[in-house]
Amino acid sequence: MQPRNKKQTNKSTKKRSSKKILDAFQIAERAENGSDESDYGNDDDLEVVDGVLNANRFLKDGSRDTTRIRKDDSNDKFEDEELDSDEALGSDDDYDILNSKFSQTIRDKKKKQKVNERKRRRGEQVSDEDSASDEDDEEGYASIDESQLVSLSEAWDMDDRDLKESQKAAGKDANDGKDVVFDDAWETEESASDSESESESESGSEEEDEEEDDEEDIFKHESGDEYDEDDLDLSNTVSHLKSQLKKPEASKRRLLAETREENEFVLPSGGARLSLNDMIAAVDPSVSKDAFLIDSQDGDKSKALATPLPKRIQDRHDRKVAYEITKEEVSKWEDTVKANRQAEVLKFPMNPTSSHRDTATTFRGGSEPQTDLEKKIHNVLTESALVDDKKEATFEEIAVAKMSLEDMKKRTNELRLMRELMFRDEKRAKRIKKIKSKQFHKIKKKERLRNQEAVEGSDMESDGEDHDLKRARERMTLKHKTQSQWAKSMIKSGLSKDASNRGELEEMLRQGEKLRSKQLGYEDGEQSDDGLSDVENEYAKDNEEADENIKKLGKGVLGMDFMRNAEERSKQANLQELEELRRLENGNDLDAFEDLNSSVNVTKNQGRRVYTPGAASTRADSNSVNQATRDEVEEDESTNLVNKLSKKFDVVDNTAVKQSKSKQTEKETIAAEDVAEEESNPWLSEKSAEPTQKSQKVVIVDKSSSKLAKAAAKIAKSKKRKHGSNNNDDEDSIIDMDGTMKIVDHHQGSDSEVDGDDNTEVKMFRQKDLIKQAFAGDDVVQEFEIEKKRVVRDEDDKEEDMTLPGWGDWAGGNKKSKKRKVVRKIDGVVQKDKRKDKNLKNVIINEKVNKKNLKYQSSAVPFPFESREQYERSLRMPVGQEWTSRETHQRLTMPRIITKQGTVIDPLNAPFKS
Amino acid sequence: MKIKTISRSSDTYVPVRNTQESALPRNLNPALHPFERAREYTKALTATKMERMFAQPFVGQLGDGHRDGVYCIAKNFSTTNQIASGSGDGVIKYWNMTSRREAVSFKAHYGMVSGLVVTPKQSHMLSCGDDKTIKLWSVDSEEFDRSYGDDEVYTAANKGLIKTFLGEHSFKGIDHHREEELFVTGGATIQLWDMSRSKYISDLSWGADNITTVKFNQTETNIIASAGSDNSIVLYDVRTNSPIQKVVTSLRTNCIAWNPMEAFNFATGSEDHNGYLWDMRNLGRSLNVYKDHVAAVMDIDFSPTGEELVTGSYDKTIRIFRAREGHSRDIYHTKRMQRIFCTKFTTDARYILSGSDDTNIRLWRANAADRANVKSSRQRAKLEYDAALKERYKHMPEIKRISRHRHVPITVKKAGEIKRTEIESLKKREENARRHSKPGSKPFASERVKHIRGTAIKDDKN
Repeated sequence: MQPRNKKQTNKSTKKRSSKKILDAFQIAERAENGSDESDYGNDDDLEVVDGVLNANRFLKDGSRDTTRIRKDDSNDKFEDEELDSDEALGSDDDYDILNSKFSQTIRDKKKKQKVNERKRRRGEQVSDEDSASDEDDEEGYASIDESQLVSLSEAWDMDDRDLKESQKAAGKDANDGKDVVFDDAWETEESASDSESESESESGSEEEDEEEDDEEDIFKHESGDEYDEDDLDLSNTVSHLKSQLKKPEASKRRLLAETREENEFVLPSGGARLSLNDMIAAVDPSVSKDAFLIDSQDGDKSKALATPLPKRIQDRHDRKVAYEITKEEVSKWEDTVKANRQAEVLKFPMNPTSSHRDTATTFRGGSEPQTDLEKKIHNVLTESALVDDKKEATFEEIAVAKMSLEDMKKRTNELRLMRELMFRDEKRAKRIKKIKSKQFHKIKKKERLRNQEAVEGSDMESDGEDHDLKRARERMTLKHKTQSQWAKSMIKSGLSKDASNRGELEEMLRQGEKLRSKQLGYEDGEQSDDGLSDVENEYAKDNEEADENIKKLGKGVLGMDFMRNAEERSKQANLQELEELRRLENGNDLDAFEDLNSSVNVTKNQGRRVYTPGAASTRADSNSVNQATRDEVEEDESTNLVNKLSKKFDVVDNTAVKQSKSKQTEKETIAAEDVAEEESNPWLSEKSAEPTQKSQKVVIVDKSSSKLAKAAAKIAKSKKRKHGSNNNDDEDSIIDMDGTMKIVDHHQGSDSEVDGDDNTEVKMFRQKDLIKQAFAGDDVVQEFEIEKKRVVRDEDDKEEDMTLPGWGDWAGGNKKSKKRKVVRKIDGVVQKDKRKDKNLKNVIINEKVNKKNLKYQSSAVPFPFESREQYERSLRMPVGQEWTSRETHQRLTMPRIITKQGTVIDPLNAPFKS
Repeated sequence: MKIKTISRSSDTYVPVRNTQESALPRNLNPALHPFERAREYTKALTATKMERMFAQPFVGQLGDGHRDGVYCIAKNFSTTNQIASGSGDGVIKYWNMTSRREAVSFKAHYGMVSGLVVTPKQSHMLSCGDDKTIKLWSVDSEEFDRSYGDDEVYTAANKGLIKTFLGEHSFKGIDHHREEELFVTGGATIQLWDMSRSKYISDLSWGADNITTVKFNQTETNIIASAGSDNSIVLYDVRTNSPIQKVVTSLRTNCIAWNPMEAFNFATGSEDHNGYLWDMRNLGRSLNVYKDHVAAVMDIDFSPTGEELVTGSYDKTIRIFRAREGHSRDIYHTKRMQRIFCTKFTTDARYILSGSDDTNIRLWRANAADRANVKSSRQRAKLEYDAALKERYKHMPEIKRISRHRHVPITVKKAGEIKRTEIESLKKREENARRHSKPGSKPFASERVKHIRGTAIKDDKN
């Protein structure tokens, strides 16, 4: 009993608080209107008078009443529990009175019982004449004598007894009941009815829960049914149902009891079945005996239709289907709704008025026939179907009509712009044409030529694809033909005799020739798929063109000797590289890389990782790739024992070879030595002392990178695949520069290996000294600590002794020191042991809060924003006219919803329904 | 000697035509306009304060109101300035809002007028009541030649009456189809009527309980929603002539409003003090919960723009919600206004009407600081700029505080406090229970689902 009881109280408190939430307003109102209950009572009365039906409450009352009746019917146990909870709680919280008058007598009886019981427990006499007034009740509560209280179990017993007695006495206590009614009428007392109502709600809680369960059960049941139906076929269901339905029909017997009177439409059949013969006899008694139903003759064929589904189930199916259909129908709005929600500006009324506007482009002649003759002709034409109104609409009109307003505006603007531009160009051409100065034209032409060259030059460098494109464009623009406007005009005006013009024309012709020959000749055979040869081909082509260009140029900077030489050199270099690459592809010699080593590392950029997308730094890339491959091979070899042994010497040999090889390598080694020297510089960080380690180049091969780079990368990759098993980290072809440094080191130490180590130590020592020297007298750490202490002290809470010296003391010689001190505590910024930087050694965290700033700081990132940066970004650009252009300002300040005053905003029309 | 002087041509600043605004030369040099954010913040703050200063939501009341509580208001959807109202003593009135006077009034029913609607085509009033009748009224006073005084209404013969439909039970709630001559009534059963017939054409009932309110969808015009005393909301389709979906909530739904811009969304006001937004395609959860009232929501209405909602409540206040936010943006109340039973937006979305127990129909501004007068372009630009600034800086603490500050009746405030503490305690209790039970055994219930007991047709998703 005990835990259950607890649970119940728990539940009831829950119920109470949820009820309190619902009635919050009433409670507040009551509290506000003063504590006089009569006021509230009046209020309640008013509610009823006004016709304000708080139906929910009535409903509850109703349900309560029914439960009450049920309870009365049920056994006494229930009653007990109810009382128990009632008394156990004994709370006198304020609740509204249940004014339901539906089942007052029942309630009154019960109340009577309860009152009696309560009073008995209090040890008071039960007297029917005692009308329980409010004050009485209160006093009763106040004057409880503990000695007179009965223990709980005893009380139950007593209750039981009382109940039986009262039930027995119920019959004879007729005037008792009356009295109670009277009692209730008088009873404005809150406490009694309140506690009662509460108890009701408490005890009812279970019941209500049950009811809720019932409610949910209904749905469960339904859903369960549906689930079944989903699984089974419809036919199955039907047959199943039929089998279910037929049985009761068979067993059912009907009692026909006609109580209706005979009238125009209804005949009392008297229970006898009406046969066909009977009916025919009424018409023609002679044939009545021969009459039979044709249907009944061939019995098998004319079977009764299958029993339709029960209406309930049929309806459910219908509803389900209807719901699906409606959903589908209504989902058509989704796009419109979405568009409206996302729109930056919504202008209401929204439904567009579809009035066709006539513009200048959609000019229409008088379509209406005006004179008699016209009318006549029109009639004839229409009759003979020669005139079709739809056909008359011009293309433009259709196009315009189909477009939306925005599109149309856009298009009009475009057209206007084009017209304007054309007009201006024309004007300009005219003006230029008018200029007679030859000088001007010459300059103009030169400029044009220069531009052209510049364009071509840039093209030469660019990729083959671009070139192809360009060539195609050239072909399209008929630059190689003399049919062009310019050429024609030149010929016509006789300007072709001018040398330069002539040259131009000839050039054009030549180009045309070349193209033609290309078209006819070797165009087909030239295509090849191999990567390298492709590169080569491209290069060859480029060369050709370059040569031609050079030839064509004749004069100018590019035509000068040194430029040509440079061109030649670069060409040679490139060819050489190509050669090497090819060799690589075919064979496997490392010498290539050794040779190429010459240019490695000289131009390394320190301290920066460089991502090169090709074109500009092809050479560097290829070099780096080579370097990487070489290193790999070296490493591979080093795994070999023999190689290991001989490596040192090899390296020495290598360097020796290098020294002897060329001046350039010498230079490099010198540079490397320089670097080594720099290492000892203490002002530079340790890392900068090893420059090559830092500079890592990552070769990124993409579409934009040149063919050379691509090829190189390809080769490198294939190489890697060959060696690749033991070094995976070279995927991005990062150069490991330790190798080179090692070489340098060895080279240094090759003279005297033993001394080398000592040297470095000495150097280290020197570095320390230097550092010490540099920071002599800077005791930074201690200074910092002192500062931190000071800050901690300053920001800590302080105590101030406010005692006035001598005040309240005795004067004289052997006075006692004063005991009482007046100390004022001044709050600092933060207490010593609550500092954030308490355990952080090298930090001082400023914990001062500027209260004036608080006003401008929001405590958290507001809702739609996800981060602080995002929010701040939204505030960054000012909106005002001082800071933005007028258009921007207007756009930024445009309200999202614009309504037109005094116009009806109609509900949205479906755009898909028109 | 040549002396340089400052000369300025008047051409640069004097307007050419008198209609043209004079050019205000301004220097765009950013150095001359420093502290842009600080200045804009201050402007926003000032604008917020100004808005609160000019906030005067109450415009006035219509005529002398009724003689009994106003329990229904109906809009005339084809005009901005005409409405109808019905009261507890069976009188219906038609109002001209421009002059704020009543155009006509009839004693329509014995007992309460429980439903009122203005027919879209002819602008007739269609009223239903507890006396089992539906009546069609002409509002064109020329047809019956006179208007009564308030005293005569009760005795005079009703000349404006066009037609009477007799029903089998008392009616609760009525609404008219937007395009066709159909209307629907609630009550013991939900019935569909044709204007040209004397008997209802179909009975759409699903279940046995009373229907208290019915509403036609305004955009997808063949769909009806109803709420009944069995705490259910039911959807019907006129085309298939059947109910289609039902959802049962924990407490009764008092009112329904369809979103006029979003065909599948509708809002309901519930006895549990909250408003709910629903998607009719998925009634397993509501889209939004509108909280703030401290007593039952009696009426809810969408702004014609579909962006805002107005609710009238039993706690004697009107609240305005943005459709996509959970809390109200404004609260309206007056000392004399009693329980509110109907609230409506006007058809131009600028005003709000409320009918309450105290027999008056009140007219409010939808935006308290808004004024209807004609504004110069400059003033308009300024207001727009202010609005933009307010929107931009609305999260700043000071601005937030000022813009949210409202005086509310002390009872409402107190009730809110009570509610808050009780809800908090419930939450705490729940949290404790969750803490001491097996993890996962007591899942969190979403606030948008909590109030739903179940739907008749289960969605595929759930």
